[in-house]
Amino acid sequence: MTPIVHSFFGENVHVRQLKCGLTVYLMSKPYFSKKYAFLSTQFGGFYHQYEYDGERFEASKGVAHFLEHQIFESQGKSHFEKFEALGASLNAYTSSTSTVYHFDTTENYETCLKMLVDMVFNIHITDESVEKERGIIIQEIKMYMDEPEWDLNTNLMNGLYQQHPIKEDIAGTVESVQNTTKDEIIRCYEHFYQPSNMSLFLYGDFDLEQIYALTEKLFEHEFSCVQCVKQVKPTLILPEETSQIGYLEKTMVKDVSLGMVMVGFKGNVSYFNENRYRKLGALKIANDLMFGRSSHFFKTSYDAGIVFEGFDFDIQVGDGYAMAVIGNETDHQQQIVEGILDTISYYQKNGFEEADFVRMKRKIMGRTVASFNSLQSIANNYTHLIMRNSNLFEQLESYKDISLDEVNQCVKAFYDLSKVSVSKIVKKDE
Amino acid sequence: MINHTTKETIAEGIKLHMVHSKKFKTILFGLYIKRPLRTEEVALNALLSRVIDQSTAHYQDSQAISQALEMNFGTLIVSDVHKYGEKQMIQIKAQIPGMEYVEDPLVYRNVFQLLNDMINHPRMIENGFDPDLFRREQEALIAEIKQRKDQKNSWVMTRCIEAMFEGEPYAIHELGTVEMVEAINPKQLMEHLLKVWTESEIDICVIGDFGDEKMRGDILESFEFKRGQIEAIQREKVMVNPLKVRRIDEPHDIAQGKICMGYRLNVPYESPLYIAAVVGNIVLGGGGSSKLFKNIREKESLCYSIYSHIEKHVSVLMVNAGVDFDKFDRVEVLVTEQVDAIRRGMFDSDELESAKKIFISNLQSLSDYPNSYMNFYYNMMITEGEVDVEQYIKRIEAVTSDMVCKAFEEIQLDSVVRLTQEVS
Repeated sequence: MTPIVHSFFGENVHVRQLKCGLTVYLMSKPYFSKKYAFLSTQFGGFYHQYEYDGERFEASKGVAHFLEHQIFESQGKSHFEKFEALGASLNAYTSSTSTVYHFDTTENYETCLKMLVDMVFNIHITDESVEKERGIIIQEIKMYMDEPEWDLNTNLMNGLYQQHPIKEDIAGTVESVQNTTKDEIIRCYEHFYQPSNMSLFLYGDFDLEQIYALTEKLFEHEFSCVQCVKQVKPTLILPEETSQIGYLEKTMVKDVSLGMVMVGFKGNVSYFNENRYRKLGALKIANDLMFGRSSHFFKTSYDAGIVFEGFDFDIQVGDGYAMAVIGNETDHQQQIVEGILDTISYYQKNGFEEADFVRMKRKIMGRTVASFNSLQSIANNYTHLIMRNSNLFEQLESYKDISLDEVNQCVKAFYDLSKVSVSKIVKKDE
Repeated sequence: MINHTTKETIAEGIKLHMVHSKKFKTILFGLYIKRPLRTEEVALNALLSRVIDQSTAHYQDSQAISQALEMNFGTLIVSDVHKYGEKQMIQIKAQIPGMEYVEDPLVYRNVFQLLNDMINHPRMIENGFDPDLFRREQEALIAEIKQRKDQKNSWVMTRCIEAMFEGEPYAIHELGTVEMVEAINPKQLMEHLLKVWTESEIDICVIGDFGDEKMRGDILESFEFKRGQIEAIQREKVMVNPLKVRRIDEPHDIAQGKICMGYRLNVPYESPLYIAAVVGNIVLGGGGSSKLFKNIREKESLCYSIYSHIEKHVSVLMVNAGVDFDKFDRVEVLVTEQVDAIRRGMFDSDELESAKKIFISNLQSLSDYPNSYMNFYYNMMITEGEVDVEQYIKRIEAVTSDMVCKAFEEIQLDSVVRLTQEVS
């Protein structure tokens, strides 16, 4: 089979599919000491409901994350120990739509790869392991709850979305973790951890053909009976989400030294059905021109002492959601909210200056060059985006010929000033 | 992979280090200004690091600077202060896209001239920094200092360091205190800029794929170095035997308790046993196969996060964990047991070998990241003097369990700080 190749900036990713259904992504990168491997399944925090083989299933909040913890169970030495004994570092994360197991190492790459595949496909989940991990996950949730941004984010997501699981923490709640059962965890494992629902990503200074042959052999051994491997992929079922926001604003008083505010814009998901990368690219340029360090908004707000270096903005588009989030630590929450809304409506009306647009394109060109410095960040971003049905290289490529007109149009089309929710943290009076 | 490194003195007290690596598509430039960590100037250095990259006589405000950086292909400048033992470094770094990739042979020189203007030609009003800009950065720094208390995991560690080093320079936080920052005025800060630029030891590091001669030329022709009486800095005191364990409980509005246990390791980095102490720390709390992780998280499911680390310059080992409030005592008992286990050699050869492998792997992969490598290089240079990764790896391989026990022989618990639940 001829592999598909994604290319950008002299870097190539080869994509192939194994007989068992697993998709393999390979990127060879000379001179780098560390090599990386990611084994991912399309199963994450959003999967409260899904369909499998014609049947509909419900799942507890946080079960994908609970299962991630359970994959690490082993008999005898822990997987962490086995990897570290080879000088490798093993970890995993659960995102909204995927669970990813990964390691990096300077030596013993092939042995580690075998161990990673073995860990994920030969599990040891018991009543004891579930009980033990419950306590650890509850501590993990509590740790995140102590970060000041936790309430800020939770309240914003609940303001923007009424049904969509983006409202919920990926790890679930203390209560949902308390109620998750071993049977449910195992059922999810059986449904989602099939090679046809999974991908393997390999990055590093290696010979492509050699590493591919090894991968093929590994999976032929693991899934020797190809007919027995189910080629059914579970599908995510998302609840109907209205285009309306949940509430306009939520304010919480907390014992912090500086308040915070986040403004969220609920976007129309179907807007991105066509020309997704160009639209996203155009919006990223627009956001930088409106709110970046060189913008009029940032200068005036910074000079006035109402925003600080941490001021940030982001746009996210995924399964069933599209939103822009803009926020900062400040004690002047309302002023910032008004400034943000005024800025957007100004540019919706007047558009951007040609000179500013040209400057921003030079910046993007340089930053793209810089992003190829770090194999770790390429590996992380590429993997993460593929698992969200998106492609890093195509996104970067799209920047090249975005025009000023497109940027102006996107700001008008995406930002709906009647669908804004605001989350505020106000510091407690002493 | 680092291809080669050259080191030369380009002016009195100023060294240029050029580190070559073919794999990077940017160059990273770092200017390190070495200051003693002391009450009189800690906040001056911190505030200077915030003010200095905000304007020049030519680019009069931060918007103009940001636009100039964007025109230089999104070059990033980061200016900050860091604490290395009883030293405080003002660090100004610039990440510049490789000139061949953006097809502009002047890009390095343009950025160096901008950096030189920040230092030698700042925007001046009545012999001081622009008072508006100054006030804004002063307020931002004060806010940042106050906010340190909101990050509970690092706050518990800060409090532990303050307890252990009460009355000593190391207790000073690198940003200073609110009162110290409030006391500074624009003219005084301008005078301080001249002082640090003329009286400090300075190191310039460049890492990337470039030609030595052109780089040296770009730097020497862009920067105006001024030299006066250069201040030498003393080595820290590291051998301390606490008479009794200090205990501090601090109530906070939190869902989970935080604990930090600070130990005096009493093994200076000059000691041949130092490297064994680092290995011992990895066995104790350096990752997923460490004793703390296995025994406190995996066996007892008491916490999610638990780890230990060493503060190299002052020879201190710290253990951090997030636990339920009613499990503080249990965790303290278990941590004490594990530290004791290392001292008494109660770890097997697998644990030791695994720790050595982790240490070596981390060292080998440092060269994949320009900024990490630069920080490692600089830290090695100001402590152990030489940076020879291969040689260092050989020394790690030679560490035995006896050496680890010996390195932990003098370890003593000094302070325990706990963030407890606020009773409202």
